[in-house]
Amino acid sequence: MPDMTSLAHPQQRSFNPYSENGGTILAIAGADFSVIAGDTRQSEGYSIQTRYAPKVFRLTDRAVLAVNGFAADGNMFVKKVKQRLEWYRHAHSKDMPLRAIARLIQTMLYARRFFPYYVYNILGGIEEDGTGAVYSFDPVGSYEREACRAAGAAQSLVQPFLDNQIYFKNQTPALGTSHPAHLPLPTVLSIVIDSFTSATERHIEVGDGLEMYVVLAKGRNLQGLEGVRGMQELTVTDDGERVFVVRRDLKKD
Amino acid sequence: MSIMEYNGGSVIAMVGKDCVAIASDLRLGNQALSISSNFQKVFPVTDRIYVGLPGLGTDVTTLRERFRYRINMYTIKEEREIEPETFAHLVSSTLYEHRFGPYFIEPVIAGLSKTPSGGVKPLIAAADLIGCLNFAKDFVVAGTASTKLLGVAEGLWEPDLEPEDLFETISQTLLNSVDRDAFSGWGAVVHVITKDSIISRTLKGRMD
Amino acid sequence: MARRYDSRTTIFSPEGRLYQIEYAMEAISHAGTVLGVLAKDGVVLAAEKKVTGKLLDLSGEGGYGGSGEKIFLLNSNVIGGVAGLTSDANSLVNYARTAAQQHLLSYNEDIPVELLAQRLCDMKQGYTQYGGLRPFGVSLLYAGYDPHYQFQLYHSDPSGNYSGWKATCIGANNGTAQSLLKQEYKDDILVKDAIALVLKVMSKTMDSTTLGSEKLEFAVLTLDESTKQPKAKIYKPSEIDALLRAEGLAKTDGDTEMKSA
Repeated sequence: MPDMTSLAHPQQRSFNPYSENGGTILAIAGADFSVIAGDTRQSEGYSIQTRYAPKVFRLTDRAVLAVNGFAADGNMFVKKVKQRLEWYRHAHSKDMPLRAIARLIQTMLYARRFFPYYVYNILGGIEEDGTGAVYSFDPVGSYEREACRAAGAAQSLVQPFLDNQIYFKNQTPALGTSHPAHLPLPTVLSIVIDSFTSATERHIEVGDGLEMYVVLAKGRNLQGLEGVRGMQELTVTDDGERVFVVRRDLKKD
Repeated sequence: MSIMEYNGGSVIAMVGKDCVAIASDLRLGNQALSISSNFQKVFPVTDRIYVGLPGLGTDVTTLRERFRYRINMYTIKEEREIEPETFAHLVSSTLYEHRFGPYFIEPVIAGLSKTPSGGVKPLIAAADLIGCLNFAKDFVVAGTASTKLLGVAEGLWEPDLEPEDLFETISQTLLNSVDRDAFSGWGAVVHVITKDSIISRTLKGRMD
Repeated sequence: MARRYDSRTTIFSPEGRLYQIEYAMEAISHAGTVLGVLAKDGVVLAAEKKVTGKLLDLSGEGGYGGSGEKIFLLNSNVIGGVAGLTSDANSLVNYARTAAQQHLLSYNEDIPVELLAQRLCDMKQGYTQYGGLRPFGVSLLYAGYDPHYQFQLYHSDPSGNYSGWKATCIGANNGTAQSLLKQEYKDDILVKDAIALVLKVMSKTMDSTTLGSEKLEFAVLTLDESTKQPKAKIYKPSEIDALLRAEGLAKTDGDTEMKSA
């Protein structure tokens, strides 16, 4: 009886440096604020590694970075960005403006073009002109400023919902009216929460908890955030922009 | 290259108050090349049951004809129209017959069954390509834009929508989802089935 | 080994006849009459039920496949009327229905009427030549429409032979009915006149004294004016009574059976 394995085609084993940790992130820009959110579940395959692993980080009082994909690369990338921002602060005695941070992220990502950071980044915050901004990146640094973006495991579930609710795609305004160019903060927060509860329902890698960061422009009052349960302020400087974080539970199944 | 994605196309069905709706896009493509913006994927089975057949184009036609055969035989022999749940099981058994060489279709069924009191009970169901049935209470999706449809439907659907509202909800769900899918789109059609009528509408959407 | 029993059921007699087929036709001559008349704008079929009685449960809805024992919907464009052994007839009707659907599956069109008759006849002929099985003890009338030859009426018998007719009759008293039809039938007759003719001939050939829905089955095949598609209508018992009343042939009170004391 011939040895059946010798008839098989050649096989090779190698170490796969990447792995997928699930989760979803989302950012929406308002007229004078920006919301950046992410769920807190970290999984690998069908296992949950932890129910609380933050994916959204405050970089400065006007910039918040959400990272999603391979968690090890994500966490390390955030550390490196923070380090570069600190060097900038020492060199220039001021915080890096948001669009500069976006460009910095592109160069940092492209530097690893041939062994990339397996991370989908979304940078949100306030621009130099006081407007809300969202920048989204691919793993090798291609980026674009947008009004809203979802990334991660449930991107395909959430992004079309956002297209409809934020950009009013496929909706015609009533006669004599027009769709608002920017939505108010309470509406945006509701849309974010609904997006995550929907994603949690239908995607196994999304759930456990939701962390939403809100960045407000200089001089903007707290209108829209009154009475938001469990809100925590993270602002460090008194330059003007303010950062808040709101945590909510998501289904744990 | 997956066979299920070769021709493209998506279907969704939703439950409303004493009504159901089923909608699909109209695209038929050859991978990235779009061929037809008029390719019907949703077919009437009886006055009150519609079936959507997204997947490989040739199997869409073949399955539609096979179901027509079986439904005609059923109607003629039983001397009555088939009920939605029975039809769903007919779909399931037809697909399982080809368990080891399946039709590349994931059917979606929408219908109204008669209740003894003379009212109607909405029913929707979906099956995988080898006949596993899913009787959902809210909505069912299938096709290349299925994950998108699931996400938007989860966000927009609520129970007990009246026929006109159900039409708006299912239309927005379909349009916004197929706009994010390269292989679905190029036209859309929606059927809303109530006790007394079926209203079919073609939607105006992006033709890219 | 068992030589006495190895003769096939369908073998020629010394005079060159196939007795089994003739015996089959004999069985049919005792069965309920089925009458068909071809009109310019449709075909009419009527049949006499043999299985009747107070205890029969006739509560089925009917209207789709035909609720009776004699007249059946074979396809949306063909109605069949059967005379002979009911069990054999049911088998043949089922075969006809599948044959019609098979044609629809292959060609995406309604099966042409003559083709359906041929399918059945090819099968029936097989049972006269191969297999050592007895023939079907059924004659059928096919009333149908197709776009090629419009309205048609065919008759097939246990031998597997068929022919097209303008008006014909099978089952008991078919001779009488046939000669009546020969006298009364006119080409270019319309459906409404054909209905009257059919009912007139039925009342003369049926065993019972007057026509009624308990003994009569009735069907009409026409063309729907708007859709131009064939429309098969197998009458429900209530509709038969209404039709008889309209034609003035309904039972009057004086004809009812004697009530039990």
